[in-house]
Amino acid sequence: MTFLIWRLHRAHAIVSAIVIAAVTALIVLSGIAIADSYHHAVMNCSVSHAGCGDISGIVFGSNGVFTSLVQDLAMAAPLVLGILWGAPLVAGQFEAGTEDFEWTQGVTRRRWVLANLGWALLAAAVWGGALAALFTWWRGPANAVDGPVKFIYFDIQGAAPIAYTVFAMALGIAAGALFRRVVPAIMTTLVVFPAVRIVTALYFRPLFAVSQNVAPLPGAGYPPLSWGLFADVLSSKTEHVTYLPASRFWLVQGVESGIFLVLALALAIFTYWSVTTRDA
Amino acid sequence: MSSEVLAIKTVGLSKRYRSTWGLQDCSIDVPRGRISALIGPNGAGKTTLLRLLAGLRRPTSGQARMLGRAPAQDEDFLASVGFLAQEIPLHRRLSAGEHLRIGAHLNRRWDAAAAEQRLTALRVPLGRPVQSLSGGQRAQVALSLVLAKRPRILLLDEPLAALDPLSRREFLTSLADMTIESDVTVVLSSHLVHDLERVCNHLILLTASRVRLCADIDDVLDRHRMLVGPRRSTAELERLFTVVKATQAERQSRVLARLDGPVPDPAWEVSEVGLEDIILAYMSEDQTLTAGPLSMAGGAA
Repeated sequence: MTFLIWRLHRAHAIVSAIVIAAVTALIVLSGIAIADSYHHAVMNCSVSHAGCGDISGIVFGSNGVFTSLVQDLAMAAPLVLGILWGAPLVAGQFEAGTEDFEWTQGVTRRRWVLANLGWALLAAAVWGGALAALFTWWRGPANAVDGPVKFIYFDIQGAAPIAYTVFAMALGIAAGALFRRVVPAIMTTLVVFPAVRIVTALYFRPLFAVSQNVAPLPGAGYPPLSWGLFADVLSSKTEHVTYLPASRFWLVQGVESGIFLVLALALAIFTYWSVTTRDA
Repeated sequence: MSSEVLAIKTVGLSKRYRSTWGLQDCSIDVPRGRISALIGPNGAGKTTLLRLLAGLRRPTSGQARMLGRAPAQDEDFLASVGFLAQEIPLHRRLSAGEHLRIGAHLNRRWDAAAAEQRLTALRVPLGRPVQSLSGGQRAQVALSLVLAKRPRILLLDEPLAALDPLSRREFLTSLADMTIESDVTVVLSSHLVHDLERVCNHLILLTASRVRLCADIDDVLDRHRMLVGPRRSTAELERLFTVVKATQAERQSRVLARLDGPVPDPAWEVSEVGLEDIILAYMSEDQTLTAGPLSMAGGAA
């Protein structure tokens, strides 16, 4: 099975490697640009005392396009893998009729589906892991300024992106096993993956927030590096704030990784059932 | 016990799709070593039957036995059965040579040398992606792959459709040779009765998702007769025999019947009928008369 899977997905693996190399190049260029602006900002501050209060604003403001491009890439990477590689994995076989060839060789469908799922999900973990490592490195200096827990910052670093990617792959494969057509599988992945991610990030993640009363500050009353969610001015002396503190980064990363891996497992079990019991 | 004599045995095998029957109450026996022609009009259930036998689909009811064992997802069953689907499924971007290597990895028994030899003799390029080959060449690649498995039962769904007349003859000859050389049973579906008659020695006839005939071709020819006589009712004949098709002309009655004994009335002129005519009679008769399926084994016993 390994030989067959490698021979069929070799092109995917090579393209993925090229994409990761290109992303690496982009991230390194972006990182150098950020370092360069940081250097200039610090120089200006020490020489002319200009812009000392807002170094982060200067550094990331001047690299805004680059920064948002990298962030968009990081957010979209799992989805890209799910639709380009996951969705056609089983559905493509049915569209080409090649399941008739593969399922009548000397290998049981049980082995066929386990080998395909195993390699595809492993590839997703490797892809997700490689990108997560790059983006974590890239976010390092910015975390010191903005913290790691704000929406999007949280979502592109640490361990959770690996789980998101494995989930996207499992979703694409399961949708393909269900519909047996590539386009509906891609459409399903395109709708379901962002929906589950957004619901988790915007409605589930805030469950880990803390609330407290603070003295109102000019601007935001949230602690530094946190993800501010709600602020109510109670009186002229107190403000009630709800926020996700930076200290809970790994706790929430762990919980979300668990959720997405469990979802991926459920989708893999569905795929196993579909391939081994449904008529071909 | 029966596994020693019968390659394929089905009892009441049925497959229901959402609103229609793909196959209904199909009971067939195919003895080992036969080359069986699976004949029927489009939509009669040929593909359904073959896919049920290959284990790609599960029956709604009834059962099938292939060399004594039910189609199942185990390696022994998969190794013993070769199946070639009508659509000639191949990975478009891979070459014949790469398919052969994939087959070598997926099968315990794999005769790559014979397949390469066969394709080379047919001048099918081994190194080019199969999508760049002609339809006939692709069919030859797929046939070589299914033969390379050295299956004991070979199920071929319309294998001749993509072949030109010369390749057709060549392919049928190699099938016939194969059944002589090794212990293999073949079922091939087609609607080209003429081509099959030369090599097939067994016939399964399906119409409207039901089995109409399942017997050795010699027996079929032996027992079907054309009766021609002055115009009269066929009631007496129908009581004695199975009337497959009756045509009443102005002064003459022509009856194709399955005989179980001598024709009592000497007014009927009895003559032999060709296989194609017998098959066409069953197909055209279809639902108008409901002759039960013919089991030669039962009739001879």
